[in-house]
Amino acid sequence: AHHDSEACRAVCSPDAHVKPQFMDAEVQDILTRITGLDLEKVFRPIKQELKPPTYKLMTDAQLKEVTQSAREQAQRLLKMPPVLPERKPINDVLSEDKILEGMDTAKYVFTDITFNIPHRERFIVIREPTGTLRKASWEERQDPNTSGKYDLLRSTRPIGGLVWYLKDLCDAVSLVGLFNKVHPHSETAQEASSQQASGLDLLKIYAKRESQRAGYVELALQAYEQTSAESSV
Amino acid sequence: MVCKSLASFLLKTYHGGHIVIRLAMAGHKQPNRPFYRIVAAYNKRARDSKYIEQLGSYDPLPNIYNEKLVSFNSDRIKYWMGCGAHPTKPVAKLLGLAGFFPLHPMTVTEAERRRGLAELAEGAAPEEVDKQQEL
Repeated sequence: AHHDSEACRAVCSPDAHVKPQFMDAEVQDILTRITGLDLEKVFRPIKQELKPPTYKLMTDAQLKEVTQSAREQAQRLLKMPPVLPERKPINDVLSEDKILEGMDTAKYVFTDITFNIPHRERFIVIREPTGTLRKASWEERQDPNTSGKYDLLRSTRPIGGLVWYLKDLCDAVSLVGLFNKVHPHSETAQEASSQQASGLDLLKIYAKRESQRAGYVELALQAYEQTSAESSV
Repeated sequence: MVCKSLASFLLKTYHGGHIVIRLAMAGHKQPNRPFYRIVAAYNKRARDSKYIEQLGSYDPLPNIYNEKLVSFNSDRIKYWMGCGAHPTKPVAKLLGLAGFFPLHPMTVTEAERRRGLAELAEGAAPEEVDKQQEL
């Protein structure tokens, strides 16, 4: 569930002007449906202080009440973290010193290690061999060791990965619907709206156009069609 | 803002000399692999021996992204400068490149010298190429 919400955060952070917001009822609906509510997973055993188990005797009605409150608790736990607006790229040039050109073959990265500043607000400044002094961009600010994982995530295009990993194809349909709403300019959405497609056709269009795992998605679709045909017969 | 107490005044008369902000080798004891700490220390002490406070670091060898990493604690540097510490020439150059200090004149001179050498090398290389072609 956490993975889903993270990927949705990657999808759902467009500019805040015209495109559907994270907080829209429709969007939230689709997202909660995708996230699902697996009680087993939410309340899986976690490390706690050791204490002897408690036993309670309940009637059926009381048991229902308790399960209901457990569901509500699970929903609260699964509440999605708020989506932050997309961070703006940093392109500040502090000074251009042409007289310094060719002073060194490497760039100098200066970090201010004052104690009480949060990581995003530190002064990280780069002096290029051409002599320009500029602020560090967000990519440069990251720990270089994490950048590999970040690229991995990007190249799989989390949407495609999700569509593959979601065994239940109903989820995939709603996800693609969400994707279309959020990226109305993408080709998938345009073609979908022109054909008034829904359900499996939507997925086919997506698989053809955008997905980087087109092969897998198409295979999964075929398998689903086969099984649904067999089951209906 | 009172920087120094009676204790530090007595220490100063004991040590003699003033406080400097300088580069000290970090003593990893690997040949051909220097690493410096930017440090506030008494002037008379040995370069790598006991310092008052570490204010940052400087790695002179570029990393895989061709960057030379320098860190400095601007807050504490300001404090020690306020207490009358003197930065040494390399520290002043580094901080000038960072934009924390004004640009050091020697940095400009070194850049000009490098450019001159590069032009000389370019002037020499085409001549060599010509000679080889003749041969």
